[in-house]
Order: sequence, then C-alpha cells, then structure tokens
Amino acid sequence: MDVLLMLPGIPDGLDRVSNWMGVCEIQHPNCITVVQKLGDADHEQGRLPTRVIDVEPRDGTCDPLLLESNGRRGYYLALSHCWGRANILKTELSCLEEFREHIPFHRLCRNFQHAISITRRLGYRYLWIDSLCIIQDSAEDWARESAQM
Amino acid sequence: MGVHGGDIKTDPNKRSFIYLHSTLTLVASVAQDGDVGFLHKRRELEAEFVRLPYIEQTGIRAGDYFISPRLETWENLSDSCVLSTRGWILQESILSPRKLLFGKDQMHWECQEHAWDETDTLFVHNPFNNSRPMDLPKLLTDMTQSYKSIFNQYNSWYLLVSKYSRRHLTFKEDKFPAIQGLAGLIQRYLGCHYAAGLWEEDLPYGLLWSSHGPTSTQASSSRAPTWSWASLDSPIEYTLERRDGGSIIEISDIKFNQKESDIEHSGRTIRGMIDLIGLLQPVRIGTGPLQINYSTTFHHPVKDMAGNVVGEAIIDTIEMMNTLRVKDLFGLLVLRSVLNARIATSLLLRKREESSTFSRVGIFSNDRILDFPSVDLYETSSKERATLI
Repeated sequence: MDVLLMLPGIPDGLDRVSNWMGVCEIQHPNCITVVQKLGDADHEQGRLPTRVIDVEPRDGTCDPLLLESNGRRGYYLALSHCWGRANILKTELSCLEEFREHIPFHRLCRNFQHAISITRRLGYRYLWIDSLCIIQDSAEDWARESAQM
Repeated sequence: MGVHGGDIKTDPNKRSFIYLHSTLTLVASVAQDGDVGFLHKRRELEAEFVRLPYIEQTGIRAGDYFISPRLETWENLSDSCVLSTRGWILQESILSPRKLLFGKDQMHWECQEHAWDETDTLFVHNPFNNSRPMDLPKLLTDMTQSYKSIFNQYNSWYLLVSKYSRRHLTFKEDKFPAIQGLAGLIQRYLGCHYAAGLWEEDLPYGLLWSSHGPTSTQASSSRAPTWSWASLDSPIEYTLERRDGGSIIEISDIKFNQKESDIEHSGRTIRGMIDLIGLLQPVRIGTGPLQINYSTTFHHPVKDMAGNVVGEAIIDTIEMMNTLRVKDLFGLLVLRSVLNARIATSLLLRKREESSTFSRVGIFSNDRILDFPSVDLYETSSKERATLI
C-alpha cells in the first residue's frame, strides 16, 4: 500500500487529457518550439501526412476512411504501437480503392479501434497509423513514407 | 489552386515528419499485440481507497489522507512497457513532441516539459530527473555543440544506437528503415552526412563500436557494410570514455576520403566503402589466457607476427570466430593516446581473398592489458591505403 495525496473520484479520463493538452499548448514553449524550430525550413505548419485516416463522423455511425491528403492542412494524432503476431488489417494495393471509400471498422484490430475512438472522443478528425497509411506491398510507397516517420 | 475541399493546400515539395508534426501521439504501451487493445475496464479505485483524517496540531481536522493501492506511474512505466523493447518505437518516441501513454492502471502524459499521471490531482510540476527519456531537443542540442575539447558531440548518437541495437525488430531487414526518419531529420537539421548508421563528420571515431554479448550475430543479409554497427543483429557498444573521460587521445592519420566513398542508400540495404589511409600491420589472434577474464564478450589476445601480445580483441560475431585462425588479419590504428603512444585502439581487419579490400572482424586495444606491452605494433608501419567494405 502506498500513501498518495489524492482525492478519489478521478474525473473522466479524457477531460484530463484535454486539460493536459490545454496546459501544454499554453504554458509549454518548448513543446511548440521543437516543431517550429525544425519546421521553419522544411515543413509547413499543419500539413497532413500523405495519407491519414479520416475518423469522422465523431459518433462513429459511419466507417472511417483513408484520405489522400494532397497537401491539405489539419491536426492529426499518430499511433505508436506494436504489431506483434496479430494479423492486423493493412492497406495493400488491392484494397486501396476500397479503403478510400471506407475502412470496415469491425475488421480493424482492437488497437486500431481503440485509437480511432480515442481520436473521435478527443475531438480530432485525422489519425495516422503506419499499417494503414503506408501501402504495405508497394516498395516505392513504403520506402518514401517510412523515411518520413 | 489555392483551396481544396475547404482546406488550404500546401507546397507538395515540402516534406513532413509524421511523428514530429503530430499533435499528439497515442502510445499503446500495454498492448503486446494488435488484438489486445489498450483500453481496459478501470480498476474500481474508489472502492480501494482508505480515507484517514488529517488532524492539525490544533486538533482541527483539516482534510483527509487517502491510502491507495500502488499504481503504475509514468516513472516506472518504461520498465514494464513492452514498447520499450521494440526497434521501431525508439524514433517514434523520440520524435513525438507529446505522448499520451495508455498504461496498465492509468493514462500518462509526456511532453517536452512535463510528465503527468492521471492520478496526479493537481498539475504538479513533475520535472524530469534522471529518468527523463532521450528527447529530440537534447539530441539535437548535443549534436550541435562544438566542443573544442575531447568531448564528442556525436556521443548522444552513439548512446542512442547502442540502445537501439538492443531492441527487437520483427523483420531484421528493418534495421536501417526503423531509424531512418530520425537520421534523416538530423541530417537535414544539422547538415551532417549519414553514412550507414554513422556520421561522416565523425567517422574515425564512429568506427569504434564493439560487439557486446556472446551471441552476437551477423545479419543474414548483407544489408550494411562490415564497418557499420548495423551489420550486426545483436547489441553493440561504444566506449565513450575513451574520448571524453579525461584521457587525451588524438586521432591518427586515418582519413576518410569523402570523394572516393561510395555510399548508396536504397532503403533496407546500404552499401558503402571507406578509403582509409593509416598505419596497417599484420597481426594474428593468439591462443592462451589473457590477464583479464570477461564473461560477456569474446576477448582474444592479439599478437604481432613475432608472437608478442599487443592487445586484446573483441570479435564482432560468432561466425567470424571460425575464420580467425587463418592468415590475412591486420590491425589498423585508429586512436592513439598522445600521452603514451603505445596505448592505442585499432580495428581488426581481414583482407578479402578476391580483392584488395578489407572487411572488419573486430576491434582491439591494449589499454586494459596489465602487463603493458613492450612492443609498439606500428613502430615499423608506414601509411597505407585500405578500402573497407
């Protein structure tokens, strides 16, 4: 047992995340300058990666889809995860067209489903996941995109 | 066209770095596997709390203490986190400016300035101490420092690749790709030149990695030149104190000839050769005990052709052990102490039969030999050109 000076009744976890985010954006110059310092020369602020998962609508009544960003701007979250042995859903040339229309939510592994619902609940529209946003059986796409991670 | 779908378009020639420019990175710390997921039903924390009154000296009850079970916190998260063992995750972690980590008991926040646990009631300043993870600003700051002294601005990189070499890759041929984003960023930001896991600007020193562990294995595919740590699948180490621990060492006459180098980048495989001009001397690997016993690495006495022990070698891989009894082994002097020219660190090279090039098989030095060698291996050597592949 460990004595912690804290109050029971932890607020909804995602409120806490929004609070952290707000504090970080307002009070942490270092968190912004990391990006800006490196971004000035080569990066335009808010530029989306080549492909992102568009998770709208937020209520989850429609499947997410794979969006070719074509240089659009926007805020996005990224997922850092371990593939493990799971047979996770991947974007390949054969399903690229289908995923541009929709990515069947029920076929996604639980890590991806969870990441999409967190993204929705935090109020963001775009999410980047390596196995879906890089065409896994295109050597050219893989080389170009993985070098930009 | 300036507007597309309501969003303003940007210059397509400008590139982004996915993790670096993300608003927030979700880190699935607990999920060993894609099917596991990282959102779980929470423990019923309230039911596990015990409330104790806090009474001031005046006898007034001023508040309450709460006793709770010990929860996993940000500080001990990395010990148990499966992701901390994975190769790809290293650059994702370093490049992400803000991370939301989903742990076993709670969520954790980590940005450039703070780390918070969900159970921190206030935004208590939780300054990083020794447990501060390796982060990008520090890495870049270290690498831009131009110390006049023996301190090496590339030490941070060497520390990083030592850690990286201990991580696991599902596909071993991802050795270069899984760190390419970070290397590309450093190259672009600092203007230094990436050379198969090393930096051209620090090449004589960058070559001085050593294999660590008896199970060292060479990559099954020849994805990297033998002079790069990336040619091994197993842990490597740099002995950083040789340069910055107060000892005074000068770099010998070895030159990296940039024009004649041939470094090709093609994603998973990087080929390259380095032309070096330095002191080269035939050696052989001796048998018999050394004065010092190490249990974790292959240490072998290096002898000159007259049979004098001139150093102890760490052989890069278990496969190379089998080739050591043959001839054509050479020492190539890389570092020599200016205080005592006999204290030196050399690469152990094997001359390839089919050509006049050399491949690396190990590294040797004599600074740990108790009965200090009376022989200077390179006393009679003259400068020669050697091509390492």
